[in-house]
Amino acid sequence: MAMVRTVGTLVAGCSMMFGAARAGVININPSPGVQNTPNLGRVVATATSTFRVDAASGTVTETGTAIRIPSTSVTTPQYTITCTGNGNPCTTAKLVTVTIQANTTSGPAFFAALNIAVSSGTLTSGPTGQNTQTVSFVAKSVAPGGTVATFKVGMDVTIPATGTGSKQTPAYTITTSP
Amino acid sequence: MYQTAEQILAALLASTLLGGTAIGPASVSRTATGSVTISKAISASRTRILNFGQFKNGGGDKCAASTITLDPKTGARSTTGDAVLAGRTVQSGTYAITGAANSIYGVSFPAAALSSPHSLTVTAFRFYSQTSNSTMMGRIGPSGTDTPHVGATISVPCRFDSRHNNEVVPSFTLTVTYQ
Repeated sequence: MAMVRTVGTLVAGCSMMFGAARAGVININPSPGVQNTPNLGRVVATATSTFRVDAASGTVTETGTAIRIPSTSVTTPQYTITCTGNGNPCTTAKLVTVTIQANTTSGPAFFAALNIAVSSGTLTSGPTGQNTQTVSFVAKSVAPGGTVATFKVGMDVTIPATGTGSKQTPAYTITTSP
Repeated sequence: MYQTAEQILAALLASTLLGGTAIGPASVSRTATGSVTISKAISASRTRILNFGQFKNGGGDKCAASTITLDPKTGARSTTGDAVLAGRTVQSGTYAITGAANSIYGVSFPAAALSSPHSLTVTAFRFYSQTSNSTMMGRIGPSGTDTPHVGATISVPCRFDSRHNNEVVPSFTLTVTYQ
């Protein structure tokens, strides 16, 4: 009985030690110092038009007759995916799927498509779905504290013919799995 | 009992080891937005024509070439040279600028235009808006309209009529753009 108690105490201590170790966690963070709300500025349209913001360069090209003021490049949002904590999935044996999905797919201003530019990371697949409303890629995970991938997001913003005179904030979501 | 303790130990160790390599959340997500302001088109329409009023060449054939400048803010005329001012309607041009409320706009004019009649040269267009201290910018008000004034300088050559008062108006295009 005494032995059982000793074993129980040891196990409890051991369990607490191991239990204190934090599980591995994937994080999505805006890259420091980079504006993460791309601002197209003011747009005046007389017909439905689409502005494509290139993820890598921020260059804006237009399909339609709308006027954009100013017409300069846009600072595209940049994200860094990191692994922190201990253990799975922070191991190079694991893969991380990153999906960028347009949320605002209708309305006064919406994301008709997204495009991404991956600047770091070991990709095993993709990016797939470029210039559609869902873009994804698969990257190898990394040891705790490392960077899985860094990428920028570009978008096609479609606006209607009739000006609303209001500010629109179409949305997108970045999801990682696992 | 001892055997039971071993089983407990094994089970706890297994559990603990699994906990040490715990699988993280199935997925994480982050939502972000873009930003765009969709504005009404900006437009300008003339509500009052720019008119230099009546004047004549006061120096005859040997005159000093003249200019008449109409100030857009006060509507007052000033001259250089031998031009002689007379009465009749003297007024700055007035425009209705419509567009997105509270927006800043810029305005531009041609470097030179001609009057009608007599084809006198009109230059140095001037712009005044109560909504702005800038010489070539204005602000559309909360109601979506601004009403700026326009003046300019007209050149009166010595060959111009020295016996009769004449009245001319310039023809030009005013261009407005959002800033």
